[in-house]
Amino acid sequence: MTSFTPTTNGILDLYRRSPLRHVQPVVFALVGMVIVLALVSPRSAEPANLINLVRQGGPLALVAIGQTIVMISGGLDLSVGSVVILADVMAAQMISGQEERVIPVVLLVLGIGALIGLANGVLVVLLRVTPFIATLGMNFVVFGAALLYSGGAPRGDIPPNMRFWGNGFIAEVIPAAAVVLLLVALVAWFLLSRTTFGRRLTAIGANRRVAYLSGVSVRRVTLLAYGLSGLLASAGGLLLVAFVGVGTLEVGTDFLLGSIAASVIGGTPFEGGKGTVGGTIAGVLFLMVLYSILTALALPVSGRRIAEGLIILAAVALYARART
Amino acid sequence: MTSTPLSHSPTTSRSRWLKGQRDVLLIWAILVVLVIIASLASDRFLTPFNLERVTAQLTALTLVAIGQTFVLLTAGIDLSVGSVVSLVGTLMVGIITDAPESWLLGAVVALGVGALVGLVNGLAVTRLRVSPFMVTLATLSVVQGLALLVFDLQRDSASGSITRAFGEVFTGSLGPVPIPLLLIVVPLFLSALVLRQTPFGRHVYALGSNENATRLSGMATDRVKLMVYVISGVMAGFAGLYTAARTLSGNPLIGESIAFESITAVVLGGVSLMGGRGSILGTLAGVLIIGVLSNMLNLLRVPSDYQYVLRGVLLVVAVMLYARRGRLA
Repeated sequence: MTSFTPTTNGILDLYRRSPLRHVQPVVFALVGMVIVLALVSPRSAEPANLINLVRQGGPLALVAIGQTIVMISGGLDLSVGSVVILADVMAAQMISGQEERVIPVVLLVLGIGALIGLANGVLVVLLRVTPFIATLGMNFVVFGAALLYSGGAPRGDIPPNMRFWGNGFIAEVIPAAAVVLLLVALVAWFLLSRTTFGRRLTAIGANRRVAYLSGVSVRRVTLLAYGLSGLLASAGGLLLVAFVGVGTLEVGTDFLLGSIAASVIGGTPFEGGKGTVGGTIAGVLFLMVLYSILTALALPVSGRRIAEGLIILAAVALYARART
Repeated sequence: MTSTPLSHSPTTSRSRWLKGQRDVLLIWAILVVLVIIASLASDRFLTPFNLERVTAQLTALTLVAIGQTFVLLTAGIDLSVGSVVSLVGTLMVGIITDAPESWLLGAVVALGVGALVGLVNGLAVTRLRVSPFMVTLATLSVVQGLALLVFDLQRDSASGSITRAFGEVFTGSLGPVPIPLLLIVVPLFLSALVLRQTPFGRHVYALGSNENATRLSGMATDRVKLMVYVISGVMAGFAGLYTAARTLSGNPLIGESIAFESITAVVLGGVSLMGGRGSILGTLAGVLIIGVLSNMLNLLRVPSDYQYVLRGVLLVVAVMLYARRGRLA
């Protein structure tokens, strides 16, 4: 992005020399999408409805931040969908509407999520299973566990004090879920861009061997990355169940594909070595705006899948071109 | 798996061959043990009726797994196969009628749709230089959407099922041989032949072992890559045609799990995700292990929850074993 060719594309040159070059491309795409939404359905683009999208996107955003952390290291976490489901059904069933159980259960579920993530990390790092297979196998195991735990039919519900964090509003305007997301995003941003962990993670993703030879503890950093992804996936499941109120076994694929799509749209290449929390959150919001455009156009699930696929393809192709 | 014609002495060549076959022997040994356990655990396992049922259940998976083997051998991956199976099924509902001429059209459309999706995958991978995972994840989504769209359009125009006569073409038997068995054996034989005995097959292995070296030695790597995605798409289209004939309906979600299932089978059979290692014989063993295991658990009335857990553990353990062997060798 630093060098430019003076002969072609005046507008592109202008962009590359302007302060706007520091803004990630996904932000322009997001603004463009909001404008399209405003044209298609002016009511959906009102501030209150846009804020609502942040609330709905909260759970996916938490999961996607975890996915981004793993993807920066050059890995992949296919188990996030099942972890979301397990956290979701466990929380609903164990809390069963009892307010005083919320805090211990939330802590327990987060711990289980982190442990599943660490198990992925152990498989990848110590037993040298490729991330794809390790997390795919874990995905089967955890989904089976969720089925066993719920007996195939999720029970229980979430009391008001926890539901507030999923679908409530602070001072009647700010969604509580957005506050949760903001806090998590700040911590993740700090981890990735202000700590040695973040720099080591990027180094591993850019070139594992070089990172190892320069003294980065590749094993420890990778292990931690998978642990964080598991932790954040279970947090996403908790936020989801707080939003919906009851457990569900159906959302795994949406969260798995959505988290990868949001990371990639937000500028994390599949090969790793790069990626930001802000980009990923913008990627999630982009998807949310896209979904509401499709809803406004009364396009059913089929349209959603087609649009999602085309946008993933366009995003990866554009980023690939920018790289070369 | 590299059989070098220029090896210096027959002994090294043979020991190398044996080394290459060790993984395949191991996986077949596991399969044999599993079959023995299954027949001891349930006296219904080794009955002709049950074996025929297992075969019919495994035909679609085998066809998809063959295509997936080609792709994985080049260090690629094809996640879109399940959506192709679903799309072809929904299309068949609209095309297949009582008239046998429509059956031919159906077959052409099924294979054509598969080839087209494969072509798009292959072009995106070779021209846009995007990772196969992301490309086929995108086409998984798009083709799944198309399947749902076709299904929605059909709901307005009634019909909704496929004539029984068409189903009998695929599920009957040719003399004493059940047709599903033929649909497994013939493609397996042909693909093994292509991989072992043709220049194309050798290019597939070479490409997966070391892409740069392969390109620098003058092979048209992009053309080989394009071909493996087309093969995978066509096999998925074939599997979709068979699935439509077996179920006599077009369920737009029927292929949802088949992509990951086929990858599981192929990897169990010893094909490395890094490419260049594995064989069709291994893939067959992988498919059979999945089939025998789930059949046995069904016969023993083990709930599907445990089957998920078991499959995950099996997958990871198998890959761990291969990774260990790879390091020792």
